[in-house]
Amino acid sequence: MPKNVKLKKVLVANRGEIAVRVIRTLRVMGVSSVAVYSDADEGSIHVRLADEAVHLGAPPPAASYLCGERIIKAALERGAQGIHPGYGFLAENAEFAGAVEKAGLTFVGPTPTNMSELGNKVASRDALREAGIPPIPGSSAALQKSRAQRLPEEIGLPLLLKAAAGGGGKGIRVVRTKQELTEAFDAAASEAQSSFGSSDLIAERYLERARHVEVQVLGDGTGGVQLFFERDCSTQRRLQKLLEETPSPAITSALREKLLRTAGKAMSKARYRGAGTLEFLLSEEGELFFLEMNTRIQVEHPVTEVTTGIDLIAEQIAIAEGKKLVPWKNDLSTSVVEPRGAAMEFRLNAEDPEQDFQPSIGKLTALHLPFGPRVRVDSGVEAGDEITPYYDSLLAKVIAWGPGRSEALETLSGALKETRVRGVMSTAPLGVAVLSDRIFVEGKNHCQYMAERLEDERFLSGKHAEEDLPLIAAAAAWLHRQNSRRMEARARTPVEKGTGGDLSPWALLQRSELRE
Amino acid sequence: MKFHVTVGGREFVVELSGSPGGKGPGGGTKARVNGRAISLRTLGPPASEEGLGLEILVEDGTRHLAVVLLSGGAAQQGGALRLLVGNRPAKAHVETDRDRLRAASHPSASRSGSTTATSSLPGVIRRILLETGDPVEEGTPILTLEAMKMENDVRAEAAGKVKTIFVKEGQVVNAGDPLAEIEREG
Repeated sequence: MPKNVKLKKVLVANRGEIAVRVIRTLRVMGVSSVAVYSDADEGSIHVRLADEAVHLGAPPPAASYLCGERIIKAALERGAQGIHPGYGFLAENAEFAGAVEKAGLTFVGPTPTNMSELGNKVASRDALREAGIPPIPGSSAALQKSRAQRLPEEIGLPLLLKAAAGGGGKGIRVVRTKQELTEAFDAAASEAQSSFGSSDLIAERYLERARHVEVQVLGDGTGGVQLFFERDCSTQRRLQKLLEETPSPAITSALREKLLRTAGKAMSKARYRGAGTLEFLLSEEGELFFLEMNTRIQVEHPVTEVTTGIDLIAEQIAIAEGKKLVPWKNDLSTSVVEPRGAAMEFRLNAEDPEQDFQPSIGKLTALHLPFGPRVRVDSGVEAGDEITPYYDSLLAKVIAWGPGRSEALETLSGALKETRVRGVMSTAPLGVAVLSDRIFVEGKNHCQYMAERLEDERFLSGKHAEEDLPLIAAAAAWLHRQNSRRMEARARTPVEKGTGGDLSPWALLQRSELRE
Repeated sequence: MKFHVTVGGREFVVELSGSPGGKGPGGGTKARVNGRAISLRTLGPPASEEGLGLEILVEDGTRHLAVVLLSGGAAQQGGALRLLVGNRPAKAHVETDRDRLRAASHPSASRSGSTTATSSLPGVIRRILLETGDPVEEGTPILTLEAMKMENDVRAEAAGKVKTIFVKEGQVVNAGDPLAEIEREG
């Protein structure tokens, strides 16, 4: 790869909010942008915002956003010098990154070697252990029953016994005391045998009420690094992050120092290039364990941006052009960016929090995203857009800044109450509920917090004001009457095969008005 | 018409007159809730086909509230209405006097008549296998729905004949959307 290239035109190999986000920065930097799109995204904001756009193919990602060859060809044809992959799709595909560079283009991201080394769980765990933070203790080989007796000493309690061939919660036992071990081992082994046809068990330390913390890093590919304060992504459900914040309410300055020194050492040694994130679990007892590395820009990068004033996408571009960072000398004062205040981000997804977060599709009939002091919104959709089943359900990210955590929280809460999504379900009600929940407000949330709170049926709805109830009742009665009329009308006009059933309630509203 | 509405653990008697489509002063629906006067009018923009997102402004002279319909159509038949008030969900159960009478005299009314197959996942209708009037056995595939990258047959829940097919091939559907109605035998 040539040193110190100048990127005059960059192809953005993504869609949605992250494509919009990258194009914005390219525009500010005076770099031309080329968007790509599938049939489903023809009229999307990212297409219109870019200077040029190239059609890729049918909506399924395999026919469009994952077609690496076609994307590289488009970049060459349009005279781009680089490709920014965003997140998801091809962002962590080492083969694609290699093909981009082989075609004489600059991949705005880590080197293919970085990706295959650090994106690999085994290799990255070794690298991080050497730098100072181990992975979650456990055994990856099938356990003998006699050996299992020594597990409490070897990996600590509580521990998790799980089927080596497992999945779906079968063949799993939590062991809290040494006495429980034999019985739990037999139970898990027999369940594993009947569910998966193999009684092999593996074990790992069970981290109850742990928090997810992560460190944003930038590397210049020659050992120079820049580090940022941690992000806390403990508010998650089934490993999907819902809300992220910085700094973490649970991190002491000693723990932060450990995180940053480990990250600096590991990234410098790996000669990491570009933006990346090291993910860790923090146990209730204050121990840190390494989870994995994401070798890309992350969804939650804006909380770091609004607390530091640094545009991480601009840094990615500058590093791709050859910018050098301060070489790592284990000196936090030169390698760590000091933040100001606190920030929180909520992911507004087209999902139904009352129906097990089922994705919701259809026409986004109305959309009001919040504005105002200390509020930033990254979005790639607008009213009238069709939310399709082909891509992730992220509609927008709402980010709030404040001088402290409580101010950021209040600002985000106000912003989400103002947010209006119509036509599809959204997670806005979840955000409103979380931000007024005492456990979250006190910063005592952990990775199981969301699952625990969602078991309470009244968690999302909260308590409606007594004086609102008659008004809600009036609305409910009218909606019920409207629905009944719609059902009656539908029953009278059966839809023939192939004609579609598009009786709009508005059409029916007109009819019912005529009747009255 | 009189409606009995249960919301927030309390029951209200609601009487409705007029249509909320009317704009301006004097337009809209008038309601009496436990005898108290309340007015309603719809807010733009239009809702989705299933009524999803339909929003109405309710006023009682001193305060006002925007109430959004979350679940519409077949999904709420017999169940509670899902509403959104200030981005907080609310559930309301609505019954008319007629519903109450019917429930009292025909406790098993829902066992005869027709049954509507709904989509359990958002997806795309790939193929429609039957036409209106076709006879079905319990378990006969009616159509194929592609959801989460897999094709699933939607089958008749009861024997009878196809009364209505609500969708067309290639149509994108949401979870809970009605797909086809089967008229039960007998």
